[in-house]
Amino acid sequence: MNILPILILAGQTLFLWSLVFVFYRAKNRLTLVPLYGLIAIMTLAMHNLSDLGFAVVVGNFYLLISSVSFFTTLMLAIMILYLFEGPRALRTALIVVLFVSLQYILLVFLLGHEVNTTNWVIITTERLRYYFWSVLAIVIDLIFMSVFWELLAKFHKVPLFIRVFLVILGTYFLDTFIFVSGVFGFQSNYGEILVADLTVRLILALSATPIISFYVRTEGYREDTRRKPKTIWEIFNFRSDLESKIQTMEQILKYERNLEDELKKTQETYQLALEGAGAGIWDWDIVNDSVKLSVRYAELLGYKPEELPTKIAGVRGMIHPDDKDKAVSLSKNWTVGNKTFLGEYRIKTKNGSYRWFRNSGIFKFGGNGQPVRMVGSIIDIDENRHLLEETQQKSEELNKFHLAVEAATDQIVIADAEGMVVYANPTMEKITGYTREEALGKKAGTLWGKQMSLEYYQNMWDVIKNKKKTFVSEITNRRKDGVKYQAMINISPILDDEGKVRFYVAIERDVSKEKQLEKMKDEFLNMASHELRTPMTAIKGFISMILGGDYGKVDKNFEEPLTNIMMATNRLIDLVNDLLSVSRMQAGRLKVQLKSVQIGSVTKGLIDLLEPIAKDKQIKLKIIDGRGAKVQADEELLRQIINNLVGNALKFTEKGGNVTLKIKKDGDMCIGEVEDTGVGIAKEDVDKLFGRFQQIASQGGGKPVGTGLGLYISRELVRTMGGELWLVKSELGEGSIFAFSLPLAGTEKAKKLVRQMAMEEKKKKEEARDEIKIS
Amino acid sequence: MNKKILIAEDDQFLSKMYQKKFELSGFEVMVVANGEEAVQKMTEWKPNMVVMDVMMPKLSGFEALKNAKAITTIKNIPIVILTNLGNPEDKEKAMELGAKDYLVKSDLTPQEVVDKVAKLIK
Repeated sequence: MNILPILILAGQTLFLWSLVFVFYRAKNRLTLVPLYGLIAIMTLAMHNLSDLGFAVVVGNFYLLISSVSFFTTLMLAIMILYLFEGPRALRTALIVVLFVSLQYILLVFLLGHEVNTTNWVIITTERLRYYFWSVLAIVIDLIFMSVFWELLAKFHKVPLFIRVFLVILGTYFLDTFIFVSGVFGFQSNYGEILVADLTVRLILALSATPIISFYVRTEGYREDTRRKPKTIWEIFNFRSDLESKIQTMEQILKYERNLEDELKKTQETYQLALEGAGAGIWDWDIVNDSVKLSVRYAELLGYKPEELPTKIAGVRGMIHPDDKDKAVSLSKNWTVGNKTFLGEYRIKTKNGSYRWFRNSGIFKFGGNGQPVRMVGSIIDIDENRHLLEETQQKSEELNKFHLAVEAATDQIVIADAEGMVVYANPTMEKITGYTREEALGKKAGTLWGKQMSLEYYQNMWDVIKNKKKTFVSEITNRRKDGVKYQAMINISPILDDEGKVRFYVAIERDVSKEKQLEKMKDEFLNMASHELRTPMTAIKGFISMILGGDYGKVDKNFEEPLTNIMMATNRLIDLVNDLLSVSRMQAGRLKVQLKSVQIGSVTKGLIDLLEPIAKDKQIKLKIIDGRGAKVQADEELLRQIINNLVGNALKFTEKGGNVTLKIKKDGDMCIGEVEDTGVGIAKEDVDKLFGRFQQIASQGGGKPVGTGLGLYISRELVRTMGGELWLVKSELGEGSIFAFSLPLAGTEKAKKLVRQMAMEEKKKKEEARDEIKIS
Repeated sequence: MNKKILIAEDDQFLSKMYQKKFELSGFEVMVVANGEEAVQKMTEWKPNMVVMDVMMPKLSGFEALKNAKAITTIKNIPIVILTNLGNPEDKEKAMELGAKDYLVKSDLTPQEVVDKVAKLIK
C-alpha cells in the first residue's frame, strides 16, 4: 500500500489545524476578515493541489482523500469560528469561498480545458465539474452546519460532545452526498463510492469530535452568553449586523441616559430626604469661594434664600463669636484618611437670637490633594441641646442630692410602697448597727422596729398610707445589738401623679443623747429649785412666825420691812415655781388630767385666796359663773389659770376698782372673761404681753409685781387643754379684758382631745418604762 | 395628853422652825435628820403623826415611807410629806406609797403647815 498519500494527508491536516489554531488565538490582535480570508485561500490552494494529484485506490473504490482533507479542515475551522464569533464569521467564510471559486473558474477558462503544469496535476473540465460541486457543497454545508447547530442549541441538556458530533457528522454526510452525487451520480459504481466516502467521513467525525469538544470547552465557550441569532434569517442577513450595532449603541446611550437620570434622581432623593428631615444643605466651592445654601437652610434661620450670604466669610459671620474659631477649624481639619467633619455650634437667626445646629459635611479633593469643595447639611439641635443641658444639670443636681443624703447625719431610708427598704444612707448603719446590705429589701420595722405598741404602728401606717400625710413622732427603736435608742422620726409618703404612694422617705434622728441631756437638765432644775426653795422657806417661815408673834411682840417699826421681806421672798418662790413650770412645759412633762370640771367649784375654791387681796385694795370682785358650766380641763391647771388672770387683774387695778370674772358658753367652747378697771396696756406693749419675762414697765408708773411668766404659762396651759387665751381689749387708764376658752365637757372636740391626750400619755409611759429599763 | 409629832428634816433651820411652831401649837415634837432614824423612832416612840421631808441622807422620805408602811406595828401611823419637791409626779408617788398628805414647804407658812397637820390629826 502506498503510504505517501496518507503522510501528505496527515501533514496537510496538521498544518491547516495549526493555522486555524494560531490565527484564532491571535484574533484579538488581527482583524477577523483577513484571518478568515487567509484560512480560506490556504485551504483552497491545498485543495487544488491535493485534488489534482491524489486519490487512493482501494480495490475498486476511489477514495477522494484530498477533498476530504479540505472539507474537514475548513468546515471544522468555520464551525469553531461560528461558535465563538457568530453569523458574521460564517458569512465571511462564505464570501471568501465564493470569491476564490470564481477566481479558479476564471483561471480554468483562461488556461484552456486541460492544463498540464506538472506530471500529476491535470486540470480538466472533469476537474472543473468536481470543483463546482465541491464549492456548492461547501456553501450548503456551511448553511446547514450553522442552522443545525442553532437548532441543536435549543437542547441544552444534550451534552456538548454529542451535539458537536451530530453537527460534524451531519455536515460531512450532507457534503459527501452532494459532492459524490454531483460528480459520480451518473456512474454505475456511484453507490459504492457514496458508501465508501460516508464511511470515511464517519471515522473522521468520530476522531474530530473529542478534539473540537475539548477545544471549545477549554476556550471558555458558554452557551448562555453566546451571541445568538434570533432567527435563522439573521444568520445570513447583513443588515442585522448594522442594526444590532445601532441597537447596541442606542442601548448604551439609553443606559447612560438612565444612569444620568438615576443619578439625578438619587441626588434629588438625598436632598429631599435631608430637607425632609429638617436639614439645610450647603455647598461651598472653595476654589471660587462661592457658597450655595438651600431654601431649607434659609428657613431654618428665618431668612429668605436671597438674604443669605454667598461667600464663606458671610456664612461664618453668622456663627456665634464664641463658637466661630471652633467651627472654622473644623473646615480645615481634614486629612487624607478622613474626608468628613461634624461639629455643633450656634448660628444667628434673623431675629437676632442664636440657635444650636449640628453641621456635618464632606470634603472633595482636587488633583493636588487639596480640598476644592465642601458639601454638607445643618440640622437644628437647639431643643436637644437645651434638653441635654437640662438633663446634665438635673443629673448634677441629683448627684448633689445623693451626696447630701449620703453625708447626712440623720438616718435616711427610702422604702417602696410595700415598705421594703430600697435605699439607706450610711448614717443608718451607725444608728441601727445594721449594714446596708442587711437592710435592703427588708421591712424597716422587722429590723429595728417593733418596740412600740401595736396601736402606735397602726396609727403610723394609717397616717402615711391611708391619709398620705407625714408622720412625725418620737419613737423607741432597737439597735442590732439589742440596745434601745430614742429617735425622732419623720416619714413622708411620696406620691405619683395619680396620688398613689410611690415610696416612703423616713428620716430618723437618734435623740437618745438629747433625751439624756434633757433628763439631766430636768433633774438639775428640780434639784436647783429644791435647793433654792429650802432657804427661802426658812426665810418665809421665820418671818411669818416673827410677824405672827411667835418670837414675842414685834416692834411696829419692824412690821413694814418684815412684810416687805416676806413679799419679796414670796415673789422669789413664785419665780422659782414659774421657772420650773416653764421648763417642764417645754420639756413636755406637764401633767394634764382632763376631766369634766365645773368652773363654779374652781372659782369657789379660789375666792378664799383672792377675796382677801380684793378686800385689801377695796376692789369689788364679782364672779358670774355661768350657771354651772362644765369644761373639760385639768382642775389644778384651770385653778392656776384663773388664779393668774384674776390675780393679775387685782394686781393692776387701783383701789376702788372693779374686777369681774364672767363665764359663758359659746358653741363647743366655754369662755372665761376677766375684766378689770386697771391701768390698761399700751398698744405697743400688746405684742409683748404673752412673751416670757415680759413685764409692762409703764403701768401706772409703779413697779411691776410678778415674775413676768404668768400670762405665758397660762396661755400655754390653756392651749395644752385645747383652748386659747387672748387679750380682748385694753385701753390705757381704763382697763383690760382678758379671755380664755376651753372645750365644754362632753362635746366632740373635748372627746377628741381626750383620745389624743391618752395616746400621748401612753407613749410617755412607754418611754418612761424604757428609761427605767435602760438605767 | 399632847399629840406626838415626829419631824424628819435634815435642814437645821427648817427643823428648828417647824419644831418651834409645832411646840407653840401644843404638840410634843421629836426631830430626826434622816429617814432611817425616822422609821426607827416611829417604832420606838409611836408618834401620832410623822411630818417627813423627802430629800434626806441615808434613807429618803419616800423610802422611809415605803419601809414604814411595810412594818405592821407602825403602818397605821399617818405620814405627811413636807417637801420642796413640787412636781405632780412626786406628789402622785407619795400618795401611792400611802402618804396622808403632800405639802410643798415653800407654798406654806409654818402656821399653815401646823393648821393642815392639826386638821388631819384631829
